[in-house]
Amino acid sequence: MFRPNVFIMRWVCIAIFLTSMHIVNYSASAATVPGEAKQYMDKLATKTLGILGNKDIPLTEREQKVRTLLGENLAIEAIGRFVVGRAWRGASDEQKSVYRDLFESFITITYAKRLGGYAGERFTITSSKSVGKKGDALVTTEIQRPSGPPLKASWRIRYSKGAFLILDVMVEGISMVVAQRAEFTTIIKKSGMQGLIETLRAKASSFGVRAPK
Amino acid sequence: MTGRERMMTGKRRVRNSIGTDKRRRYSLALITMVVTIIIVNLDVIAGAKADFKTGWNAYQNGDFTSALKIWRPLAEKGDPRAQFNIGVMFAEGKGRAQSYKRAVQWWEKAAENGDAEAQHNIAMAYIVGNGVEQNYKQAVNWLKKASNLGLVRSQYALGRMYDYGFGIARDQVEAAKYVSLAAQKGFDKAQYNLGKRYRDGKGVSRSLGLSAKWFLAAAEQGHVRAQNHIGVRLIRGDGIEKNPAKGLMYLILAAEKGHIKAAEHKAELSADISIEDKKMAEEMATSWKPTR
Repeated sequence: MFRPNVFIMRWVCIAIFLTSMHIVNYSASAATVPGEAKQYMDKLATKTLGILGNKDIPLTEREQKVRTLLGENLAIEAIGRFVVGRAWRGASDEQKSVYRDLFESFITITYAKRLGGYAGERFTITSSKSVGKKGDALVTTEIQRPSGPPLKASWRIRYSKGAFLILDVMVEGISMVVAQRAEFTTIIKKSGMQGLIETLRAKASSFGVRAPK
Repeated sequence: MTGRERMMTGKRRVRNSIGTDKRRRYSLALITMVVTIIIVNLDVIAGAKADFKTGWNAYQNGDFTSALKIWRPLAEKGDPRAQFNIGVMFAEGKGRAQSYKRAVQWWEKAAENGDAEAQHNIAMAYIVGNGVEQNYKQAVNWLKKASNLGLVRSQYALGRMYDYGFGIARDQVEAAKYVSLAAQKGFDKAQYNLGKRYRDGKGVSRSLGLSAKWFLAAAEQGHVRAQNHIGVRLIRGDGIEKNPAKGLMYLILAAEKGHIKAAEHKAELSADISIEDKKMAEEMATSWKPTR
């Protein structure tokens, strides 16, 4: 199972968060303009990192806010279908409906909780270019770490129906979506689509930290 | 009374009074000891509470290192809350590198101290295979323990294990029993599941009325799939008194949350609903709030 380290994951989450928020005042265009995607990320970086670094808001509340935003803005439907591969076609309508809900919970809870560990690291956008037949934008960033060399990450973004949506994140050349698909495929092979559903249900059902009474 | 008898009675009185004094002193010492023990214990409890809260505040500020530093001694002394929270921090990679194995180890300590949520999290770890080898049987064992302590999420999860025969022989009656326990305590997912069970006669006798009752209970809490089901039922009067405006309201709410079928049902069934009811449905949907 692919398990990137916490630092990388935290930045993956931050980038997902930054690049997946709604874009307003954009004209409807088929392709994602790399310059606009870059500009957007730049603006959002300042705004979002400010929110994440705001210690006046309790952590659990910050995580909840992030979770809601992620749910509204990630390309959850597309990613969710891709990561289950061919099993999607064999799934019943009920399973598809349950999976949609659980995948959304899984991805938003996972990333929101990891984002909660933001400790004020800085990142810069180094480039933005067009990729693929559908004209997605690939925005490359460098993350300055407290120790060690900067970390490179690339974000595949699509402008669709008036909003930027994140489709994939590549950290040091490894696609997170492909890694997720590999993990899900293993579960499906072993326990079927229902096994995957129960796994996601279990992940969503675990209790988080307990507050004092 | 002779002189000798009088003398003996006097001696007895003196002896008795000495005995009473001794008993009084002993009682006083005993009371003092008990009070001291209570005070010391209260101090310890209050201190532990304060420490736990200090750790919580540090956690909320994102200072995970301090939170761990504060909770660790409490956990080592056997405080299940601290043990549980340290487990969560390991699972989420907060303050330490992510390690599900360490998370499960801490939850096991809390579970031994009777912590139901820790027992539930261990069960989930066994289902997913996080920090432990995936093992549905073990998951069922832990879920049973937590269910016996009345943990609703575990009761529902155990019902599902019976439903799909994961780690235990498939048994729809047992599944319905556990799902029902959780539903009665207000767990929306269990209420929705129970609604489907009554609709299909799965582990229970088929009943459209009870099915509608449980769909409605879950829908009132904001369960989107339940809103879709009860929306259609209310419009058609299927197992529940007909109420097109309320039914359409639930379809609007579910469709707004992205439920594709609800959007389809809304489009299909709207044609038979009066303009007044449609208007009322939209107004109700705007001001609707979940019951929990």
